[in-house]
Amino acid sequence: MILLQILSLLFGLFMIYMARIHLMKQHIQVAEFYLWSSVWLVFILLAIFPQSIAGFAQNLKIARIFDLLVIIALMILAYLTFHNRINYKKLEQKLEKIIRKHAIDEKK
Amino acid sequence: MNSDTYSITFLIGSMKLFVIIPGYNEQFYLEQLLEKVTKITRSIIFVDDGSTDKSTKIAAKYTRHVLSHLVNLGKGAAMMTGAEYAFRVLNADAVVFLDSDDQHDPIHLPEFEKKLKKFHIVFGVRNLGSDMPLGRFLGNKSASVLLNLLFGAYIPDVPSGYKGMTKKAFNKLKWKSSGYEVETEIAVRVAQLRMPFGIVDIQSIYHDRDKGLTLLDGAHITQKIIQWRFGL
Repeated sequence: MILLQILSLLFGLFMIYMARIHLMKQHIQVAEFYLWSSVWLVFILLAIFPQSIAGFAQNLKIARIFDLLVIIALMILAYLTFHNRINYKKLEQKLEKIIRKHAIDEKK
Repeated sequence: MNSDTYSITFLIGSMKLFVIIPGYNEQFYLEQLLEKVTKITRSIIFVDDGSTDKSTKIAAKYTRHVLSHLVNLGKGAAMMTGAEYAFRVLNADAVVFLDSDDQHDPIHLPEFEKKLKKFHIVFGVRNLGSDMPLGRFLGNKSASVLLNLLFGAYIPDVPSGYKGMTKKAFNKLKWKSSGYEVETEIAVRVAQLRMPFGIVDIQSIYHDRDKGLTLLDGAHITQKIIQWRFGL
Protein backbone atom coordinates (compact mmCIF):
# COMPACT_ATOMS: atom_id res chain seq x y z
CA MET A 1 0.00 0.00 0.00
CA ILE A 2 1.53 3.32 -1.04
CA LEU A 3 1.58 6.45 1.13
CA LEU A 4 -1.25 8.14 -0.84
CA GLN A 5 -3.50 5.13 -0.23
CA ILE A 6 -2.73 5.20 3.50
CA LEU A 7 -3.50 8.91 3.65
CA SER A 8 -6.75 8.38 1.71
CA LEU A 9 -7.74 5.56 4.06
CA LEU A 10 -7.07 7.70 7.15
CA PHE A 11 -8.92 10.67 5.62
CA GLY A 12 -11.93 8.48 4.77
CA LEU A 13 -12.05 7.06 8.30
CA PHE A 14 -11.72 10.55 9.77
CA MET A 15 -14.66 11.77 7.65
CA ILE A 16 -16.83 8.83 8.80
CA TYR A 17 -15.89 9.72 12.37
CA MET A 18 -16.90 13.35 11.70
CA ALA A 19 -20.23 12.21 10.27
CA ARG A 20 -20.79 10.15 13.41
CA ILE A 21 -20.01 13.10 15.69
CA HIS A 22 -22.55 15.24 13.83
CA LEU A 23 -25.08 12.41 14.07
CA MET A 24 -24.55 12.26 17.86
CA LYS A 25 -24.97 16.04 18.11
CA GLN A 26 -28.15 15.67 16.02
CA HIS A 27 -26.84 18.03 13.35
CA ILE A 28 -27.64 15.37 10.74
CA GLN A 29 -30.25 12.63 10.62
CA VAL A 30 -29.60 8.87 10.55
CA ALA A 31 -30.32 8.62 6.82
CA GLU A 32 -27.85 11.41 6.07
CA PHE A 33 -25.26 9.74 8.29
CA TYR A 34 -25.58 6.49 6.29
CA LEU A 35 -25.37 8.42 3.03
CA TRP A 36 -22.11 10.15 4.02
CA SER A 37 -20.68 6.98 5.55
CA SER A 38 -21.38 5.14 2.28
CA VAL A 39 -19.70 7.90 0.27
CA TRP A 40 -16.56 7.70 2.42
CA LEU A 41 -16.63 3.91 2.49
CA VAL A 42 -16.67 3.84 -1.32
CA PHE A 43 -13.85 6.39 -1.26
CA ILE A 44 -11.79 4.11 1.04
CA LEU A 45 -12.48 1.02 -1.08
CA LEU A 46 -11.50 2.83 -4.26
CA ALA A 47 -8.34 4.10 -2.58
CA ILE A 48 -7.36 0.55 -1.53
CA PHE A 49 -8.52 -1.24 -4.71
CA PRO A 50 -8.19 1.34 -7.51
CA GLN A 51 -8.02 -1.37 -10.16
CA SER A 52 -11.66 -2.28 -9.49
CA ILE A 53 -12.76 0.68 -11.65
CA ALA A 54 -9.97 0.44 -14.21
CA GLY A 55 -12.38 -0.88 -16.85
CA PHE A 56 -14.85 1.93 -16.22
CA ALA A 57 -12.05 4.53 -16.51
CA GLN A 58 -10.92 2.96 -19.79
CA ASN A 59 -14.45 3.12 -21.20
CA LEU A 60 -14.48 6.84 -20.44
CA LYS A 61 -11.05 7.21 -22.13
CA ILE A 62 -9.50 8.37 -18.88
CA ALA A 63 -5.90 7.18 -18.73
CA ARG A 64 -5.40 7.07 -14.96
CA ILE A 65 -7.81 5.91 -12.26
CA PHE A 66 -6.63 8.80 -10.09
CA ASP A 67 -7.86 11.27 -12.74
CA LEU A 68 -11.29 9.63 -12.71
CA LEU A 69 -11.46 9.94 -8.91
CA VAL A 70 -10.48 13.62 -9.10
CA ILE A 71 -13.18 14.26 -11.72
CA ILE A 72 -15.83 12.51 -9.58
CA ALA A 73 -14.70 14.45 -6.49
CA LEU A 74 -14.87 17.76 -8.36
CA MET A 75 -18.37 16.97 -9.60
CA ILE A 76 -19.53 16.19 -6.06
CA LEU A 77 -17.88 19.36 -4.75
CA ALA A 78 -19.44 21.50 -7.50
CA TYR A 79 -22.88 20.09 -6.69
CA LEU A 80 -22.44 20.65 -2.94
CA THR A 81 -21.16 24.21 -3.45
CA PHE A 82 -24.12 25.06 -5.66
CA HIS A 83 -26.54 23.43 -3.22
CA ASN A 84 -24.98 25.32 -0.29
CA ARG A 85 -25.12 28.62 -2.16
CA ILE A 86 -28.81 28.21 -2.91
CA ASN A 87 -29.54 27.28 0.70
CA TYR A 88 -27.45 30.19 1.96
CA LYS A 89 -29.32 32.63 -0.31
CA LYS A 90 -32.69 31.26 0.83
CA LEU A 91 -31.73 31.57 4.49
CA GLU A 92 -30.40 35.09 3.96
CA GLN A 93 -33.68 36.17 2.35
CA LYS A 94 -35.76 34.56 5.10
CA LEU A 95 -33.66 36.20 7.81
CA GLU A 96 -33.93 39.58 6.13
CA LYS A 97 -37.71 39.27 5.84
CA ILE A 98 -38.11 38.29 9.49
CA ILE A 99 -35.88 41.12 10.74
CA ARG A 100 -37.66 43.67 8.52
CA LYS A 101 -41.09 42.47 9.62
CA HIS A 102 -40.03 42.69 13.25
CA ALA A 103 -38.66 46.22 12.80
CA ILE A 104 -41.81 47.49 11.04
CA ASP A 105 -44.28 45.65 13.30
CA GLU A 106 -42.66 47.19 16.35
CA LYS A 107 -43.47 50.67 15.03
CA LYS A 108 -47.06 49.99 13.97
CA MET B 1 -53.12 66.70 11.21
CA ASN B 2 -49.97 65.45 12.90
CA SER B 3 -46.65 67.26 12.90
CA ASP B 4 -45.28 65.04 10.12
CA THR B 5 -48.08 65.87 7.75
CA TYR B 6 -47.87 69.55 8.62
CA SER B 7 -44.17 69.81 7.92
CA ILE B 8 -44.55 67.93 4.64
CA THR B 9 -47.42 70.09 3.48
CA PHE B 10 -45.53 73.17 4.49
CA LEU B 11 -42.35 72.06 2.85
CA ILE B 12 -43.30 70.34 -0.33
CA GLY B 13 -46.84 71.05 -1.26
CA SER B 14 -49.05 68.09 -1.97
CA MET B 15 -46.36 65.40 -1.96
CA LYS B 16 -45.97 63.32 1.16
CA LEU B 17 -42.26 62.84 1.35
CA PHE B 18 -40.08 61.17 3.97
CA VAL B 19 -36.36 61.29 4.44
CA ILE B 20 -34.92 57.83 5.10
CA ILE B 21 -31.62 57.57 6.92
CA PRO B 22 -30.18 54.07 7.19
CA GLY B 23 -27.42 53.90 9.77
CA TYR B 24 -25.04 51.53 11.45
CA ASN B 25 -22.93 52.71 14.40
CA GLU B 26 -22.98 56.35 13.31
CA GLN B 27 -23.16 58.08 16.70
CA PHE B 28 -20.37 60.51 15.81
CA TYR B 29 -22.11 62.22 12.89
CA LEU B 30 -25.77 61.29 13.24
CA GLU B 31 -26.69 64.10 15.64
CA GLN B 32 -25.26 66.87 13.48
CA LEU B 33 -26.97 65.40 10.42
CA LEU B 34 -30.35 65.16 12.17
CA GLU B 35 -29.96 68.74 13.45
CA LYS B 36 -29.62 69.90 9.86
CA VAL B 37 -32.43 67.72 8.50
CA THR B 38 -34.92 68.81 11.15
CA LYS B 39 -34.40 72.42 10.10
CA ILE B 40 -35.95 71.42 6.77
CA THR B 41 -38.38 68.62 7.64
CA ARG B 42 -39.41 66.47 10.57
CA SER B 43 -40.56 63.65 8.33
CA ILE B 44 -37.60 61.45 9.05
CA ILE B 45 -37.31 57.69 9.22
CA PHE B 46 -34.15 56.38 10.81
CA VAL B 47 -33.39 52.70 10.23
CA ASP B 48 -30.91 51.43 12.74
CA ASP B 49 -29.16 48.48 11.15
CA GLY B 50 -28.23 46.62 14.33
CA SER B 51 -26.01 49.32 15.82
CA THR B 52 -24.24 48.65 19.10
CA ASP B 53 -23.59 52.34 19.84
CA LYS B 54 -25.96 55.20 20.74
CA SER B 55 -27.33 55.75 17.22
CA THR B 56 -30.89 54.67 18.10
CA LYS B 57 -31.05 56.90 21.18
CA ILE B 58 -29.75 59.87 19.24
CA ALA B 59 -32.25 59.33 16.41
CA ALA B 60 -35.15 58.93 18.84
CA LYS B 61 -34.59 62.54 19.99
CA TYR B 62 -35.38 63.79 16.49
CA THR B 63 -38.02 61.42 15.13
CA ARG B 64 -40.55 58.92 16.34
CA HIS B 65 -39.98 56.80 13.25
CA VAL B 66 -36.99 54.81 14.42
CA LEU B 67 -36.89 51.26 13.10
CA SER B 68 -34.38 48.78 14.50
CA HIS B 69 -32.93 45.72 12.86
CA LEU B 70 -32.14 43.03 15.43
CA VAL B 71 -28.86 42.29 13.67
CA ASN B 72 -26.78 44.09 11.08
CA LEU B 73 -28.07 43.25 7.59
CA GLY B 74 -26.43 45.90 5.46
CA LYS B 75 -27.27 49.23 3.87
CA GLY B 76 -29.49 47.82 1.11
CA ALA B 77 -31.63 45.91 3.60
CA ALA B 78 -31.95 48.98 5.84
CA MET B 79 -32.99 51.12 2.87
CA MET B 80 -35.61 48.53 1.93
CA THR B 81 -36.99 48.46 5.50
CA GLY B 82 -37.24 52.27 5.52
CA ALA B 83 -38.90 52.36 2.10
CA GLU B 84 -41.41 49.62 2.91
CA TYR B 85 -42.32 51.41 6.14
CA ALA B 86 -42.67 54.76 4.36
CA PHE B 87 -44.76 53.50 1.46
CA ARG B 88 -46.82 50.78 3.14
CA VAL B 89 -47.32 52.09 6.67
CA LEU B 90 -47.00 55.88 6.31
CA ASN B 91 -48.44 56.03 2.77
CA ALA B 92 -45.65 58.22 1.53
CA ASP B 93 -45.63 59.44 -2.07
CA ALA B 94 -41.87 59.64 -2.26
CA VAL B 95 -38.74 59.17 -0.20
CA VAL B 96 -35.26 60.62 -0.21
CA PHE B 97 -32.36 58.57 1.12
CA LEU B 98 -29.56 60.24 3.02
CA ASP B 99 -26.38 58.65 4.34
CA SER B 100 -26.11 58.77 8.12
CA ASP B 101 -22.46 59.82 8.17
CA ASP B 102 -23.33 63.48 7.48
CA GLN B 103 -21.78 63.33 4.00
CA HIS B 104 -24.86 64.80 2.41
CA ASP B 105 -26.17 68.28 2.97
CA PRO B 106 -29.96 68.23 3.59
CA ILE B 107 -30.12 71.72 2.09
CA HIS B 108 -30.71 70.00 -1.27
CA LEU B 109 -33.92 68.28 -0.08
CA PRO B 110 -36.29 70.87 -1.60
CA GLU B 111 -34.53 70.42 -4.96
CA PHE B 112 -35.15 66.68 -4.71
CA GLU B 113 -38.80 67.33 -3.99
CA LYS B 114 -39.07 69.60 -7.01
CA LYS B 115 -37.41 67.04 -9.29
CA LEU B 116 -39.50 64.16 -7.88
CA LYS B 117 -42.56 65.87 -9.30
CA LYS B 118 -41.06 65.45 -12.77
CA PHE B 119 -39.10 62.21 -12.44
CA HIS B 120 -39.78 59.01 -10.54
CA ILE B 121 -36.15 58.70 -9.59
CA VAL B 122 -33.68 61.46 -8.79
CA PHE B 123 -29.95 60.97 -8.22
CA GLY B 124 -27.85 63.25 -6.06
CA VAL B 125 -24.65 63.80 -8.02
CA ARG B 126 -21.53 64.98 -6.29
CA ASN B 127 -19.42 67.57 -7.98
CA LEU B 128 -16.77 65.15 -9.15
CA GLY B 129 -13.26 66.46 -8.98
CA SER B 130 -13.70 69.21 -6.39
CA ASP B 131 -13.40 67.98 -2.80
CA MET B 132 -13.59 64.34 -3.78
CA PRO B 133 -10.46 62.28 -3.17
CA LEU B 134 -8.84 61.11 -6.44
CA GLY B 135 -9.41 57.39 -5.68
CA ARG B 136 -13.14 57.91 -5.28
CA PHE B 137 -13.30 60.13 -8.33
CA LEU B 138 -11.71 57.42 -10.47
CA GLY B 139 -13.85 54.68 -8.90
CA ASN B 140 -17.06 56.63 -9.51
CA LYS B 141 -16.15 57.42 -13.11
CA SER B 142 -15.22 53.79 -13.78
CA ALA B 143 -18.56 52.60 -12.42
CA SER B 144 -20.47 55.05 -14.66
CA VAL B 145 -18.43 54.08 -17.73
CA LEU B 146 -18.84 50.34 -17.04
CA LEU B 147 -22.57 50.78 -16.56
CA ASN B 148 -22.78 52.72 -19.81
CA LEU B 149 -20.88 50.01 -21.66
CA LEU B 150 -22.93 47.14 -20.27
CA PHE B 151 -26.37 48.70 -19.95
CA GLY B 152 -26.31 51.60 -22.40
CA ALA B 153 -27.15 54.39 -19.97
CA TYR B 154 -24.78 56.88 -18.40
CA ILE B 155 -25.61 57.48 -14.76
CA PRO B 156 -23.21 59.87 -13.06
CA ASP B 157 -21.94 59.21 -9.53
CA VAL B 158 -23.33 55.70 -9.18
CA PRO B 159 -22.21 55.12 -5.54
CA SER B 160 -23.93 58.27 -4.22
CA GLY B 161 -26.40 57.39 -1.47
CA TYR B 162 -28.31 60.68 -1.80
CA LYS B 163 -31.25 59.79 -4.00
CA GLY B 164 -34.99 60.14 -4.14
CA MET B 165 -37.71 57.93 -5.55
CA THR B 166 -41.46 57.83 -5.81
CA LYS B 167 -43.61 54.90 -4.75
CA LYS B 168 -43.97 53.91 -8.40
CA ALA B 169 -40.20 53.80 -8.87
CA PHE B 170 -39.77 51.80 -5.65
CA ASN B 171 -42.28 49.21 -6.82
CA LYS B 172 -40.42 48.90 -10.12
CA LEU B 173 -36.91 48.84 -8.69
CA LYS B 174 -37.30 46.51 -5.66
CA TRP B 175 -33.57 45.94 -5.18
CA LYS B 176 -32.29 42.64 -3.82
CA SER B 177 -28.88 43.76 -2.56
CA SER B 178 -28.65 43.88 1.19
CA GLY B 179 -25.20 45.48 1.32
CA TYR B 180 -23.41 48.59 0.08
CA GLU B 181 -23.73 47.43 -3.55
CA VAL B 182 -27.36 48.55 -3.40
CA GLU B 183 -26.56 51.96 -4.95
CA THR B 184 -25.07 50.23 -7.97
CA GLU B 185 -28.00 47.82 -8.24
CA ILE B 186 -30.46 50.72 -8.23
CA ALA B 187 -28.47 52.42 -11.01
CA VAL B 188 -28.33 49.15 -12.97
CA ARG B 189 -32.08 48.63 -12.68
CA VAL B 190 -32.79 52.22 -13.72
CA ALA B 191 -30.58 51.65 -16.77
CA GLN B 192 -32.17 48.28 -17.57
CA LEU B 193 -35.71 49.64 -17.26
CA ARG B 194 -34.75 52.74 -19.27
CA MET B 195 -36.30 54.91 -16.55
CA PRO B 196 -35.94 58.64 -17.09
CA PHE B 197 -34.14 60.13 -14.10
CA GLY B 198 -33.49 63.56 -12.66
CA ILE B 199 -30.26 64.87 -11.24
CA VAL B 200 -29.58 67.18 -8.33
CA ASP B 201 -26.08 68.57 -7.99
CA ILE B 202 -24.99 68.06 -4.42
CA GLN B 203 -22.03 69.03 -2.32
CA SER B 204 -20.41 66.29 -0.29
CA ILE B 205 -18.86 66.73 3.11
CA TYR B 206 -15.90 64.48 3.88
CA HIS B 207 -15.05 63.64 7.48
CA ASP B 208 -12.01 62.03 9.10
CA ARG B 209 -14.01 58.98 10.10
CA ASP B 210 -15.40 58.34 6.61
CA LYS B 211 -15.76 54.61 6.03
CA GLY B 212 -15.72 54.83 2.23
CA LEU B 213 -15.28 51.89 -0.11
CA THR B 214 -12.08 49.86 -0.35
CA LEU B 215 -10.52 48.40 -3.49
CA LEU B 216 -11.95 45.04 -2.46
CA ASP B 217 -15.43 46.59 -2.30
CA GLY B 218 -14.81 48.01 -5.78
CA ALA B 219 -13.91 44.55 -7.07
CA HIS B 220 -17.04 43.10 -5.45
CA ILE B 221 -19.24 45.77 -7.06
CA THR B 222 -17.63 45.15 -10.46
CA GLN B 223 -18.33 41.44 -10.10
CA LYS B 224 -21.95 42.23 -9.20
CA ILE B 225 -22.38 44.54 -12.22
CA ILE B 226 -21.20 41.74 -14.53
CA GLN B 227 -23.51 39.27 -12.74
CA TRP B 228 -26.52 41.59 -13.18
CA ARG B 229 -25.62 42.09 -16.85
CA PHE B 230 -26.03 38.38 -17.43
CA GLY B 231 -29.08 38.09 -15.19
CA LEU B 232 -27.31 36.03 -12.54
